[in-house]
Amino acid sequence: MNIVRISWKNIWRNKLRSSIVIGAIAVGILSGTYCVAIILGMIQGRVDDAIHKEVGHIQMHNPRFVTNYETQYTVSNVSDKRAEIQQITQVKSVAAHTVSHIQLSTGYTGSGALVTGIHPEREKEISDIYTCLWNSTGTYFEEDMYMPVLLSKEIAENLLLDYYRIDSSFFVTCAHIPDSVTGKLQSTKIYRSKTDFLQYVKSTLSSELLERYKTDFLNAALFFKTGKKISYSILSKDKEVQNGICKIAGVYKTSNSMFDARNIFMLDSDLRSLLHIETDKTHEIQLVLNDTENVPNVMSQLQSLYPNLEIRSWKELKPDAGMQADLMNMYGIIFIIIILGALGFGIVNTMLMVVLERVKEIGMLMAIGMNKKRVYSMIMFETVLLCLIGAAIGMVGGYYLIQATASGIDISSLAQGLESVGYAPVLYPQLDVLFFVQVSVLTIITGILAALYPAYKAIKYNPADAIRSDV
Amino acid sequence: MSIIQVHNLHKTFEAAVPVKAIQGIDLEFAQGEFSAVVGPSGSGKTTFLNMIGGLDSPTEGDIIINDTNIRSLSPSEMIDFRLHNIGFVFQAYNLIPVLTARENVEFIMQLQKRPQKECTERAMELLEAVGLQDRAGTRPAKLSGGQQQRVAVARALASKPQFVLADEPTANLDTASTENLLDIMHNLNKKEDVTFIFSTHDKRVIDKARRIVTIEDGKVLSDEAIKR
Ligand SMILES: Nc1ncnc2c1ncn2[C@@H]1O[C@H](COP(=O)(O)OP(=O)(O)OP(=O)(O)O)[C@@H](O)[C@H]1O
Ligand SMILES: [Mg+2]
Repeated sequence: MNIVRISWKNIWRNKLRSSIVIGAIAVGILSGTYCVAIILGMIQGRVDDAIHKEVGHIQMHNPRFVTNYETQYTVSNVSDKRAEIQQITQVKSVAAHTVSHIQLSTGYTGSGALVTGIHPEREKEISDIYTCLWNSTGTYFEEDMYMPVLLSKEIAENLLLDYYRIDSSFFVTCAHIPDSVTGKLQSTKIYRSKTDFLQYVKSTLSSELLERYKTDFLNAALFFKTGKKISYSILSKDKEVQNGICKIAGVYKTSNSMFDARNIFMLDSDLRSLLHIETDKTHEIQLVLNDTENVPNVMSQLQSLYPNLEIRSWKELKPDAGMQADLMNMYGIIFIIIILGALGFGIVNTMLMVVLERVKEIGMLMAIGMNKKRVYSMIMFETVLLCLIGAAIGMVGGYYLIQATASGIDISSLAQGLESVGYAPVLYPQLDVLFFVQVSVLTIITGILAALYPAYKAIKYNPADAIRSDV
Repeated sequence: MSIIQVHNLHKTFEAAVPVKAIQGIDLEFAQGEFSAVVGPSGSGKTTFLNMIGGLDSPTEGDIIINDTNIRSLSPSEMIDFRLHNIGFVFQAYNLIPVLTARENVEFIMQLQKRPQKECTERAMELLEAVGLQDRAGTRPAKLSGGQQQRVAVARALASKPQFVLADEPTANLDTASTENLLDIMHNLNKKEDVTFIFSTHDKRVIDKARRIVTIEDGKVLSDEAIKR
């Protein structure tokens, strides 16, 4: 009969009390792991967006370009470099970009942006922006048009390119709003401004209903006209101002409104000719690897290949996401430590009751020759096992809850604040096996710590007094 | 040959009014004795047995068990000494409630780190000796008080001790169970030469003893051997 077996059996002496403690631990661990899974899912989503929509894994620039984006500072021999980089086994794809500041204006207003010149087909290999067209507005440079530009929804709105109308698709988007409300609205002409559109809705419904459904109505009625002209102004590499007209090819939207507020896309060939950049030169080379883990390795290979270029990883390019990714694991652990710490006090209390109840039995055990080390271990194992049972139930529950919601929890109604700091409006809870291992280890530590005082009390009994006592 | 020698034993419990529970006892116990310590309530029987069992330490005097002065042992050496030399049967709370009768008997041998096979065999032998072989798989809660005390006797013998101390082992038992337990102890004493020292109030128990030590106010009032 080893001590662990006795401890295990002792747990079930008072089934109700043990079940309550186990239940408390299970609920704590379940909610803890689930919260952590949500936080980690959010961070992972942000990291994935940063890599796959914004900056790739690694970017290379002329070091002088980095400071001010002055277009004369280029990287040369681009096709050779692309071919060389493609040779590195961990590299999935490489693409080159021309990049410049640009000034856009419509008849009403203007807006500055950073324009990236891309080869659409190659770009699809390294960036998922092509999947982010807002409300299927336009295409990803598939339509043949003069000087196409892909705007973000945010910039398009800033340029007052937003139109509103009620048409059949409006009613589809608003299907969740009661018919008694939408039924009163009729197909309308196109409104040139948000205010005019809202004025119409207000006059048809009531200002109260308008307030309630304002965001839904605006979203459903909003559209952008592709092919519409906007004028641009850009500085070529020899500091000549280039003015002209470009056309809206499409409108995209990511879940990072900071990115959207700044970035638009053009064809590389168009931007290159505006900037007067020679064919085999470029501003930016962007890489995507097979696995994010390989970034440091590939970075050092690139650094020895191209010592004169500024080579930066996604963590340097997007420090916010980089920092979150580095701290990700720690958040989870700190969270669980706090929960276990709180539970720990309850466990100490329970084990003190246990020890007090068994004064005579513990006295008898020491009297017949069970030494203090064994008595101590008996109480300690009992505590640790109690904690582990609870934690195991909590982790299994957490695991299934994560599985059940892994396809995403939509919180878009609350999510505008999140998007402004770059987080997606859908949560994808996720956890790796390592975390469950860490929780188990922390649980064992909690059990050991919680047992210290009760076990110490147990071995302090004098067997003669314990047996005599009338407890 | 005496296995226990008690010299000038004193025990005072420190309290608001100090209690002089044992006030100078000199006694010897020999191998194979079947002795009763008797006396009125509060006379010091439990205190005396606790001290020769090493559960409590004297205020003054010495206890020598087979050449070992147990006062010289450290607390952890004392526990180990008890494990290998002394068997205990208490009035109640003798058994581990979560273990079966057999496991309770095995337990003490496992503490002595004996091979599992030996533990199981000896546990079964001893349960047979106390007439409980068919209750080996039963937990204490499902045994009668008398059966529990018989398991406790088996457990006390399992460690092959020098002697067995039993403080009022029959106090909670009815007449039939008392006689039964006494017969078992008596048999083990005769056949296996196990030394028993027990305290009791019970006339029926006293009648079985072959030596009766009477204690009053912490002193030995009389010490008589009885031929049976
Ligand atoms: N831990 C203690 N602290 C103070 N006094 C104690 C303690 N233990 C025992 N006593 C006192 O010592 C005296 C002897 O007690 P003891 O239990 O040895 O008597 P006993 O002969 O076993 O009595 P009983 O027949 O009732 O079991 C009593 O007066 C008792 O109150
Ligand atoms: Mg007593």
